[in-house]
Amino acid sequence: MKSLLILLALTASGVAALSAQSVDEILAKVDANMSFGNMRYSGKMEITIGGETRYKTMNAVAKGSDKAFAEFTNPEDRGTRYLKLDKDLWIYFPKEQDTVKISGHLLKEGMMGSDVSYEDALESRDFKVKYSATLKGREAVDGRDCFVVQLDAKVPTAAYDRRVMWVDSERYVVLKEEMYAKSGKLLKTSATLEVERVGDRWYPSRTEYVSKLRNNTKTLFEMSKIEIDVALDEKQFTMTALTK
Amino acid sequence: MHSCAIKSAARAAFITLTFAVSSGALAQAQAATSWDIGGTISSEPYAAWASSELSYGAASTMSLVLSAKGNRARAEASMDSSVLSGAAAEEAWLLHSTPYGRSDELLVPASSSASLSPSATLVSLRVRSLYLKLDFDEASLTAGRQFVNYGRGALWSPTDIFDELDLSGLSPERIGSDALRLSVPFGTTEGLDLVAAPTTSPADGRYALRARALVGGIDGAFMVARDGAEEGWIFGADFKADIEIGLYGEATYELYDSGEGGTLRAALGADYSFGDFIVAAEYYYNGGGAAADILFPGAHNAYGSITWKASELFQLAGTTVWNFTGGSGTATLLATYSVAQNATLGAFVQGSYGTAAYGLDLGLGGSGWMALTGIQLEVKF
Repeated sequence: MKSLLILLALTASGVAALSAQSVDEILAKVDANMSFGNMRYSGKMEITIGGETRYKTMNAVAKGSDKAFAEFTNPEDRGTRYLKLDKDLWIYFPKEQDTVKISGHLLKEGMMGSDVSYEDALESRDFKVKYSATLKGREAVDGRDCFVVQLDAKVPTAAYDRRVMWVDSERYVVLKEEMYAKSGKLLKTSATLEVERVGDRWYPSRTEYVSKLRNNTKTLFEMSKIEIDVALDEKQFTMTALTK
Repeated sequence: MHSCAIKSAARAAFITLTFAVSSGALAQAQAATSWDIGGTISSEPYAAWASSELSYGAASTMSLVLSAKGNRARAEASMDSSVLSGAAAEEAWLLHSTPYGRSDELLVPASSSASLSPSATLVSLRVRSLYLKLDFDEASLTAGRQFVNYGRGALWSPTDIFDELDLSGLSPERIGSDALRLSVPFGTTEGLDLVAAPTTSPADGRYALRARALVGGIDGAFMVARDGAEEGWIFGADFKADIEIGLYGEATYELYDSGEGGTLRAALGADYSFGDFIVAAEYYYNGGGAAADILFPGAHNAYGSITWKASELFQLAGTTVWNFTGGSGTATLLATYSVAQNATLGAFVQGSYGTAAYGLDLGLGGSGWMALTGIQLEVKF
C-alpha cells in the first residue's frame, strides 16, 4: 500500500515534470552519459545457465559506435581478439593465428555465447541518432524515480525495433530496459546494478542482461577501470592490431 | 654454377635476415611488458571398429603456449606433447611413414627400453609454432614457424599454399610453416604481405605476394606465388561477403614453366545462423589430382556442418566431408559440455566410408566402413 502511494505520488509529480522536460532533453542527457568519443575498460562477463556459472574477462577499447577492439584474457579464450569497424567484424584466433571475417548474421548472436550483444559491449550508444523517442510516464525502479521512455527505430542499423527504458530522473542513466523485435516479441531485458561516476558523467558499470529467447540464462556484465575520452591510437583499430 | 651461386646467396640472405629479426626480437622481448603462459591438457580414449576388428586407443596431450609481448616485439612458442597408446599409437606409426604424416611430428618410444614399433606406446612431440615478430609503424616482420593462413575456407583453402592440413585428429587442423613474413599495412584493412618459405635449396621453396582490401563490405585478396618444387607460378584470389548469408570463395591457377596445362583449384562456401543453429557448407574442386592435393585427390569434394548451440554450456556439432569422385567420406557427431570453468567433456561418434578417414588410403582399415567412438576431456589453464 505504501509503495502504491509512493508510485501514485511519483506519477502525479511526474505529470508536471513531463511538460517541464521534453523527451528530447531527457534523451540528450542520457546520450551525454552513454555516448563517448573514446573509451577503454576491462570487462568481466559472468554467464549463468541454470545453476552453472562461467566467467570471461576482456580488455576493450572503443571509438564511438563505429570502431571497437577487444581481447579476451580468461584461459579458455585467451588471446581471442575482436575488431569491429562499422558493420564489419573480424575475430582473431591465436591458436592458428587465423583472422576470420564474421558474417553479419552472427552479429545478432550474443558475444562469446553470453546474453551481451556486440552493441552492448563494444559500442557507444547514441540513442538520438538511431531512435525516435516518446515519453510514456514515470515509475520508480529500486526506489529511484525514473522516466519511462519508448524508443522506436528510425534507421535500419538500430539493434532493436523497439526499446523501453527506465531513465533515472536524477542521474540520467538507464536503470532498466526491455528490447523488442519487430514482431513485438520481447527479446531481452537489462537491469543496471551499479552506476559509477566517470569524470563528470554517470555510467552503468554493472548490468545484468537476460535473454528472453533462452531458458534460464543471464549474463552479468561488469566494467572496471573505465576511462572515457582517453587518447587512443588510431592503429588500435586496424587489421594489423589483430595479429600484434 | 651461376644458379648455385644465386641459391647460396639467397640462402645466406635468408639466414642473415632471420638472425637479424631473431636478435632484434629477443632484445625487445627482454624489455617485454608482459609474459604469458597457458595451455591445454586433454585426454581422448576411443574404440575403433574396422575390417570386423575392434581396437582401443588413447591419446593424452599437453599443449603449452609461452609468449612474451613488448611494445614492438612478440615471441611465441607453442608445443604439443602426446602419449599415444593402442590404436592411437598404431595409427600415428602408420601415418608417420606415409606422405599423410605430420611434417612437424617427432615420434619416440615412451620407454627408453622399448623400440619404435606399431605395438609400443609412443610419445609424439610437435612444435606448432615458434616465431619472433617485430612490429614497426610501417611494417611487421615475422620469422620462424608460424601459421600463414591465407584464404577463407573452413576446410579447404587453395590459396593457403604454406600451411598443410592435418586430418589425423577428430577435427582438421593446420600445420605451421617455417617462413619469413613481411606485412605492410596501407590503411585500416588494406595491406601487402610477402612470405618466403625456402627449403634447403631456396629455388625449391615457396614465395608469395598477397594484397588484401575491404571494398564495399567485401573482404578480398589477390595473390601471386612462386612454387619452386613444382616449377610453376600460382595466381589466386579469395573473398568473403555478406548477403544475409556469409558467402566466401577462393581459387588458384598454377601455370608451369614447362608449358604443360595449368591446374585449377577452387573452393566456394556459405554459412548462416538461425536461432541456436549455425550451418555451413563448402564445395572444393581439385583439378590437379593427388599431385595438387594429396589429402583430397578427387576432383569434386564437399563439406557440411551444423552446430546446435543449445547453451553456453552444451553444444552438438555434426560435420561431414565427402569425396564424390572417389566415393568416400566421413561423418562426425561431437557433443561437448562445459563441466566446469575451463573444463570441457566431449563425446563423439565418427563413421567413415571408403578407404579410411576422409577417403584417404592410409592402409588402416582397407575399403569399407570404419567407425570410431570415444570421449574427450579438456582442461585449459
